[in-house]
Amino acid sequence: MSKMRREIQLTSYIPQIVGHLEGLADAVDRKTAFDVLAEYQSRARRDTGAQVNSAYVATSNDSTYAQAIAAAREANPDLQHFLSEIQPSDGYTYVAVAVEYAAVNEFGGHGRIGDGALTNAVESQRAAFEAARARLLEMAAKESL
Amino acid sequence: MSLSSTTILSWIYSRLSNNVALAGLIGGVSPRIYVDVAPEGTLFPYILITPLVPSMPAYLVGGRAAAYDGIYLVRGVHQTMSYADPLLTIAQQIKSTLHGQYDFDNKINGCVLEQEFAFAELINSTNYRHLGGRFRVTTQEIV
Repeated sequence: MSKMRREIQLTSYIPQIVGHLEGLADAVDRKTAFDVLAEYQSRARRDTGAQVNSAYVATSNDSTYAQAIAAAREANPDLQHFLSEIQPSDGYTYVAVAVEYAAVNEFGGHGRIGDGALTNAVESQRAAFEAARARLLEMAAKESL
Repeated sequence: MSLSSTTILSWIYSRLSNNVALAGLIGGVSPRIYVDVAPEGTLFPYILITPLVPSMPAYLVGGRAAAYDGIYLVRGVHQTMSYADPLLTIAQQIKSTLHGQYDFDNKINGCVLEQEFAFAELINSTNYRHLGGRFRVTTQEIV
């Protein structure tokens, strides 16, 4: 009687599933960030336009900082100083404004009323962002079954 | 300003102005608490309330808002280069007066500190410091 050897190869698809979901999560973060940016630019105070133009999106892979600074300089050639570029860690996406005085316009100060433009921009996208994240979690749950 | 934001502002003002520990630091019976901006010539320190997001629908039932959220920045402002007292005590009192509080009789479902806030300003060679927090306040539907 001959001996028969059987082998069963188990293949884990978990890395592919995780990779797929991470890609989708990054896409959701990125879309939300650009939507926040657009909202901010439509809501914030506009004098020369340098402040709204200096707003940018930065991830660990790429950033629109250079284009934002160029646009801000074009809006106000007298503006010399810009805040340095944010360098996000993996998994983080930032919407930032590269002029210092944006903070006092956002929060208000002694003798200056804040407009909360960035806070409002974030809040305007919160529901869509949370809904998209919830859908991703559902997908993750289904794919892991 | 909407009805819900007016309700939130009244509640915040009332909570702060009734805090005895704060009163001694910001003017006693006529506490220096202002919305948006303090009047010119105001003595320091004072409390500034900024409605960053005055009011937005938080819970929708059948397409109708059942509750509203507001985001309010509440901070002590002082002409100083330091975040130490009296600013620190003011910030601590703001937090203990608002964070984790609710008041159903006045339609306030809850108030939580979302983020502490510290901010420095230099205007015409004069230093100012702000210390407090960003609070999310939820109201019931106001009709």
